[in-house]
Amino acid sequence: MIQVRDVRVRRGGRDVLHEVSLDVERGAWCALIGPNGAGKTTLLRALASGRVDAGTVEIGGVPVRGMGRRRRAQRIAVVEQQPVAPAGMVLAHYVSLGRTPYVSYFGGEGAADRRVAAECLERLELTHLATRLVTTLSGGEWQRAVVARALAQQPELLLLDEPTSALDVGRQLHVMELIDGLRADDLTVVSATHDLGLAAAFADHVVLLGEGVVVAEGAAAEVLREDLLSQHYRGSLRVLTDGDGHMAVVPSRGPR
Amino acid sequence: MTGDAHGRDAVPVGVAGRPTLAFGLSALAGMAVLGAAMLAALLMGPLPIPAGAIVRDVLDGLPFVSVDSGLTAQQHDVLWQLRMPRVVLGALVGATLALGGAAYQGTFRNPLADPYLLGVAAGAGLGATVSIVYAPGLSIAGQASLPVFAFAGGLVAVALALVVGRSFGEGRTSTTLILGGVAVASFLTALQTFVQQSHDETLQQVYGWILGRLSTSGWTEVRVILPYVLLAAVVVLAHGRLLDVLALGDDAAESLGVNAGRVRGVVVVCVTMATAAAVAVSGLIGFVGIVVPHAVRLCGVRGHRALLPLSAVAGAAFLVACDLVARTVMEPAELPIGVVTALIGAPAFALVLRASRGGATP
Repeated sequence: MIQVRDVRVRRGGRDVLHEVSLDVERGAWCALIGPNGAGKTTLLRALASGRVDAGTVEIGGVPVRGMGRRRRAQRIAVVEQQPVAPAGMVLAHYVSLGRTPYVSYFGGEGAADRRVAAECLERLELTHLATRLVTTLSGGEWQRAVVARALAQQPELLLLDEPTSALDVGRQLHVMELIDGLRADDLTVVSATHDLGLAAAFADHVVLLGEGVVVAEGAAAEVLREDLLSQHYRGSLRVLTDGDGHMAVVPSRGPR
Repeated sequence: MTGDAHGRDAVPVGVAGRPTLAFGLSALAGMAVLGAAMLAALLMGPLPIPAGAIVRDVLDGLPFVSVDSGLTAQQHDVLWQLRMPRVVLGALVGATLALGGAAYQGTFRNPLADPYLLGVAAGAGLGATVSIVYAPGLSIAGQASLPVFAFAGGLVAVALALVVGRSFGEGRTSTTLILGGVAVASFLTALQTFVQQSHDETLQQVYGWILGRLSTSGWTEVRVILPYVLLAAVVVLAHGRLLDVLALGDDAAESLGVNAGRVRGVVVVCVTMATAAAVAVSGLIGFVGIVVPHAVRLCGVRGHRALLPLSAVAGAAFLVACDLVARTVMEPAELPIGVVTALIGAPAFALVLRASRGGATP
């Protein structure tokens, strides 16, 4: 269980987040949505580090800020919006660096670490690319590689910042399905996204942020409302739902 | 050994970055090249000394080994008081510069980084110029003052760069440190030029130092730099895996439980001390810190746990070979070794880059 209570974060002399509270159940997928500057990435960083100007961030009742650096990295993994692809590094080595929180300061990976890294490659369908340089991977392969490295940390909480923004629709769906499959092991996922359709399709819990506060939260059907979204995204948006309850959010320009 | 057209990697380390048999063979090959370069450097000189006698005399110096080398007393003195100290000093300085370059390129995620990045060369240059101009003949604790001034100047310059770099932004990011180094180096170089131009009677001496040289007086210079070089080598090599983590970016390193600023600080301090010590006894020898690590990478070496030791061995061999050229090509005059490293290194580097056809990104 992730508990965020009355969190305030100041950047550049102004509150980027204020009085944000949030609960995420173990094994749930929580999607943070909202326009640019709403505070999604700031909230993810607060979850990752526990560094806030007021309030508390806890995982399983333990304050994130009080955890040691390595302990925190064993429980929380982050997939950044634009992860660095190091030149000259092969995929297997890249993923094995996810074991860093378990490796002593001057040490190297042991047999158990190598086994975990190999499993992560397999789960993300990357084993056949293990000896490829990461700079030569396609967009979809690279995104899966980054998730595999995060997964090698064996975290309880996976934080994703725009995990699929650089991918085409098919690869977006593929990566999201793979991440969804990881929740079978009680992995909790919190993602920041601009793709409201994917948020609706995968998240159990959707949180709409606007100017640093939680505007609405709940199931996708409760939050993805045309009036709310149009107001906070400052544009005319339509929410379409098919007979099976699948939702899509599309911009609306009116009749041409 | 370069990666193939599909980006697959034929590397002397395992895919998980662990040393493998291929790495061991590469290290052995590097040591063999270094040994050959050292032997060639010991052979060349006005007084002929047979190669077999050199090998036997070196073996005779090992514990529990007794071999009659057949050297005359004069040959023995020339070997152990003139040529061997110079060759060992060249190997130590070359290893330091190449190891420092590889470590800085990893630490700052900047392929153009060399050990002089944070202003150590500019500071040492100013220190050396001040010593030549204002304190000729001064000795400090029985030592010539020039290496002491150069060492101190290098350390002060990097300390200033760290202070200035921190003042630019919130944290010690690699970019702010580099900017601090650029600012400090520019300022100190201007000061050095001013002092140098104000005392043109010492120009030749100053330039002679700036262009680098490996002249020795017995084993003094080796003893001066050895502790710094050993300390830096041990610490930097121990940080090999963490430099791989830093390659992911500071934010990713933090999310993996690594204090990127602390790792960078430890590596910078150790490389600075060793580089300042090397510069103090050899002057400014350029190009080694950039060319050698890139050449090693272009041979297909991946991961800092392999790159760092192989760069050190290759750097040692490269500088010993350059010094051999420097002192023999215009005999009895000597070329400044910095000129030789640039004259050999730049075209060789360009050729290696061309041969790689972009297949391996440095």
